[in-house]
Amino acid sequence: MIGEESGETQVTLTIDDRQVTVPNGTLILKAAEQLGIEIPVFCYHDKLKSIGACRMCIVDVEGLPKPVPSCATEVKEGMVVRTRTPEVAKMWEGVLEFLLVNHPLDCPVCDRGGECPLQDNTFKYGPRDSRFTGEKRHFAKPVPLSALVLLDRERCIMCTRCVRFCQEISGDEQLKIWDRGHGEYIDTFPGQTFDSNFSGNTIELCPVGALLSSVFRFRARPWEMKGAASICPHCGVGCNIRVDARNNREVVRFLSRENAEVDDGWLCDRGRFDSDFPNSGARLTKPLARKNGELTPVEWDEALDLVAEGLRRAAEAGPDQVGGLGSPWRTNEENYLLQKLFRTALGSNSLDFTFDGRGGGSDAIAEAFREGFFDGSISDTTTANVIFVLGSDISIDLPVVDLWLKKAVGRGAKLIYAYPTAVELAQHSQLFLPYAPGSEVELIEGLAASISAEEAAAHTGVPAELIAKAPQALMDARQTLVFVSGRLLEDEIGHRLLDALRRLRRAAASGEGQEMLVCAVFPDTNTQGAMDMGLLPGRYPGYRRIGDELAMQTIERTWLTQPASAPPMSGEQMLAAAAEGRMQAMYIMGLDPVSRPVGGEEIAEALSKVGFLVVADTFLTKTAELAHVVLPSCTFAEKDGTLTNTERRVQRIRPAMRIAGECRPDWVILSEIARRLGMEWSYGKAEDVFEEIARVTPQYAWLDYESIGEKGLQWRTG
Amino acid sequence: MENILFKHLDIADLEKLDVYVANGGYAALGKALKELAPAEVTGLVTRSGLRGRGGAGFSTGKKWSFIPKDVDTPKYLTCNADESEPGTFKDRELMVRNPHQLLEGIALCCYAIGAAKSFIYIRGEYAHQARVMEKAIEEAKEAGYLGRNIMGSDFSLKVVVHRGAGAYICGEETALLDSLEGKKGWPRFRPPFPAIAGLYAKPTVINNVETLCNVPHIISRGPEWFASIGTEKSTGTKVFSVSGHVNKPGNYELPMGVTARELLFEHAGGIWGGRRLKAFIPGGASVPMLTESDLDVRLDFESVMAAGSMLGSGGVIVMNEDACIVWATLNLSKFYNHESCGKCAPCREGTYFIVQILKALEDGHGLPGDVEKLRDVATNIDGRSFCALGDAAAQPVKSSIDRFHEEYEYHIAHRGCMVGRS
Amino acid sequence: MGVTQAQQPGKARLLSEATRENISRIALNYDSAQSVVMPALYAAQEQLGYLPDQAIVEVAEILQLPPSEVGAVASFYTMYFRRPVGQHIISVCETLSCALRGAEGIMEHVRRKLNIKAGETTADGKFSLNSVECLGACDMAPVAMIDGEYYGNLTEEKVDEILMGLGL
Repeated sequence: MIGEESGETQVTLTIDDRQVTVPNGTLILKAAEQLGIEIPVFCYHDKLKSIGACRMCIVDVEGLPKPVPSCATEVKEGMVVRTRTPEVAKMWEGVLEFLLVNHPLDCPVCDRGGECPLQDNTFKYGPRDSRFTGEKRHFAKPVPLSALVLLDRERCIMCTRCVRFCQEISGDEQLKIWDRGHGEYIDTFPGQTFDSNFSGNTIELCPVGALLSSVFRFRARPWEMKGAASICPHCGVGCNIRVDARNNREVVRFLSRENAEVDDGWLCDRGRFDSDFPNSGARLTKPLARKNGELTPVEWDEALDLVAEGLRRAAEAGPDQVGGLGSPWRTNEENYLLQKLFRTALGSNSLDFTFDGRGGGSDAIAEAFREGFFDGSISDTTTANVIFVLGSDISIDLPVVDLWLKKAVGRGAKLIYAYPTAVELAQHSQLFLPYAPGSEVELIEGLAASISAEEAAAHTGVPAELIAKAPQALMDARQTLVFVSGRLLEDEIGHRLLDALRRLRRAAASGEGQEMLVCAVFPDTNTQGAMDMGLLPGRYPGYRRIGDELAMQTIERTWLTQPASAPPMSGEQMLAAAAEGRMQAMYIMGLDPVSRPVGGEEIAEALSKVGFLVVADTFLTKTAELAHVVLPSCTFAEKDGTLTNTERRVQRIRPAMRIAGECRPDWVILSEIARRLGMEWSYGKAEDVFEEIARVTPQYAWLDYESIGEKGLQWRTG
Repeated sequence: MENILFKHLDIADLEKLDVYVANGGYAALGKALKELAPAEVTGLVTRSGLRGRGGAGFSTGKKWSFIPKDVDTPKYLTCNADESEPGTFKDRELMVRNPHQLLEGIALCCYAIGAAKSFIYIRGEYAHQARVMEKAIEEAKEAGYLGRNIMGSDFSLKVVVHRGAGAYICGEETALLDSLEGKKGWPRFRPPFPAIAGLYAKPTVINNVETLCNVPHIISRGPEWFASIGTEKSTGTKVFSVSGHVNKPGNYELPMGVTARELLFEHAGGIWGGRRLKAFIPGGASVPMLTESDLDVRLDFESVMAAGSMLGSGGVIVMNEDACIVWATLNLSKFYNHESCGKCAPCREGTYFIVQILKALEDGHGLPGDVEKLRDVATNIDGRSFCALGDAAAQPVKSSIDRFHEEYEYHIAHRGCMVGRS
Repeated sequence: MGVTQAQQPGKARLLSEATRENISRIALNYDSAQSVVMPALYAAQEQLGYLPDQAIVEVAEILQLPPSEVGAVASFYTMYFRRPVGQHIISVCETLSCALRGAEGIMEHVRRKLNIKAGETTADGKFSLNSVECLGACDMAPVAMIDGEYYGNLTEEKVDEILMGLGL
């Protein structure tokens, strides 16, 4: 394809009497694009292989007997292309007439109407009238291919983008063209549901209204919608999305907003179709306070006064009696202000974003982040020779990375997949290592050949001959990319695992020009950011240790008060303290531990013993039901802020719709509480908070909203 | 005229290996393996002027010469026996009556291009012909004309019969390759051309049955002999399949350049039912129609082209004055609509559009302007479709309107036909 | 070439051992597993009379291909039957050369005799009738393919004779 290396042959050609010089191998379509010459397309898509099938983009090339598809024909030196002659105009008109022969022309009731390439191209290049008076082809419609994707076969123009997506991108081959000629249609295998994790992308690829989202169908017309450039709130990949809201009132859909470093233009179904929650009628829209045992709606002032008073009184009992829990689903700004509130106004370092047990790894991982151990990026999958996944079912943990890995395998990268069970991606790997859980360290030692394959086999249960294949592959690789489960790193073995990875890095990057990059896998949206912001027991923002003199000085310069140096409690420890009736107050923001499938009841019991429990959330969760005061938060669709994804990329979310009811963004809520506790915070907007984050957090020092921009930036150490 | 490809008309049981060998069969292969370098075989074929008999008329020797030499990669010959062009049935007879002639041609080509494997892609309906070819392959293998170390040389060849399953498009050479690879028969984008990346993305020659059947004779009797038959640029004989309204439908092997008049009246027994000739399609359904005034056109690539049509497959469909031209065009248009693979819009939708207009005309629902519309729709397909099937679909429509305009208009004005149905 | 005989336990198989062996043998002729799809479908159809979805799944399993791909390929070609067909399959050519020699009349006659339309199967499951495109036998127009064999120069009388021979 199009190469970018210098020294590549350049080709000069003429399109519509204008000269353009492009690299050899460029498609006529792309060369025309450089001149700003539009050529309509349907089957062509930047992410899919050219097939030249629909004939929409045919152009005249001097000296050739027939017009050629500009989407599939490469430029040649001296080529003379014409796209704006009466002959080409007639050809385009003819192709559009053909595409409309069996098209129902039901634009007024079609979701695509108003943003439809078929409609747009017809308007620009198509016939004015319909000459076709015969009977159009009929199909039952719409056909539910799945609960999420509907197919209107009468509108389909057989561009086959969806089919090629399933073949070339998701690799699940679920959609095919059945039958042939004018009778052909798109379908799954008889009786099969289109249950690809990525099915929704076909809706966006569809250049007509044939593939439809059951979530979006009939919800809005394009001219009623406004889109906000945001980030998908559903996992740690942080796919870039456009959040479309109807009349500024309700979110109606998520569309992909390509970020070539993060999502390659794709979204998973879990992200794409879970777009309705900001509109829910069950949202909290007014503060609640417990009166006579009942949660009762109150005004904000009353609620905030109660919260400030409750926290202040609890803190007086001692910093080990209060704690705060942030959230992997809240912004960096919000998590930052939560810890600042506790570390200043309340004197407590008991901060976390999980109730889960933190083993010995917690501190090790913090240390690893501080020293910059993690340096791998999602887009390194495009260059790595060997990709090693340890302990993560990527297809579930970071769905879109599944596509990156398949793409890497497609270009010849070697995938080594270590996971206890044969998950889907394992089938795409060259080497699958199903190890016994808990034997990760020995497995890595085996891969690094620091213990023998036989010894590693004895520990891990993986056949020695499989393990023995790995060291050579790693030795041969110029670049190795490791995705390692964050859960494993936080576990008891985390410390040893990191040491083992360090040894593996030495082995895999021992040769000249060799490198091994490591990326931690955090499935939740902003786990990385929550850690970065200091919601870790024992760490200030930027992973600096509590009590570290230098850190305290730096922070004090910005906070104008010394950060707390009291001994911290983790979420788990806070819970244990609560169960013993030793927690005077807790502030839980955007976390609902009581709803956990396992252990929720014990947590509820413990939390019910907390002297003063505040919950800020978007819904009245089971956890919120136990609170003394409940504060209604904004969802991601109603506020500004930043999220940091699993590869340490800081990206911006933006408000897509007006705020529901009396909700407030958590950073506003926290500022109000701080003000009531005598703090002089003056954040007018989320950006002000971020500026402070950049001053206090070394990794974020070089970031601001402007530089983060539309595509985000990764934080750096040192 | 001597029968060359159709020697089976003179020699009984020529399909049997011993009879074939007794009549000089496999001598050409023996000669090539013993005396000729592969490039020399290609050279002889090039010098003979042999052109592809499948329809396009490309120089066979030149096609072979495009196969990269001295590259260590498998190469293939695919014999196109997907004879599906309406009005064409020559390969059927060639395979059944003289299968070893084809196998010898295949072996010679494979030797020339360095292929160790050849597939015969035969249309699914030719089940009997497939069985005949498979039997002949077995016999030839046992006798040492195929298989390992053919005739004591170090040339080995495996020939495999692959049956199609009912898809005209698979006669298009790149659709054929996809079909042979177990996919839907959708034509491929070129470049790359099959000579560089064909079957399994390896260098591949695709030749029609009749083309390959000529090769043993060229090697045996020399390119000069071959070039002395036919015309200067269309050398050799051509097997013409004549069908429709003639008294003696059948295959006729005649020198290239024979006139249509001689073919139809001297060989095919004249027009059926004692009626006058109305139209004939000289090269299978996919080429423009000609009429009585074209009877003296010589049937070779250049002359038919000059007359505004194409020699194509040499399948000549004859219509007498009782045939309604709108009905006949509708019939062919339905064929193309049914056989369109569905890959590109002009062919998939355009053939459907054409059928709808023609149906209306045929049923007496035509409206003023329909004929112009019909012609314009055909024009919008012609040259814009992905492969030649779309072009083919446009030819009967355009040529019949050009030559029988008043008959179309009559259908509109009188809501019916001006001629009795056949 | 990627041919496997692995069986999933507890699942009744439609394709017989003989068919499976046949497919394995055919596979030796080809240089890719997918190339085996068409002959394998023929082999399955030969055994079963048509290609139920389960047969397509099994062919796909044997060749280690996605069932959707094998099914879509089967659906492209007219000679693979994805629905049950009659014991005898009568395919009347109606393309121009045959049509000029009376194919429409022959078709009409067969339709009347069997009392079904093209594309249908008689209620007793004995006959299926198809209208097909050029069979490449225009020298003996009008022509029909019946159970894989060609019958040419058809007249109504000849059709009656043939059908009688098939037990009508």
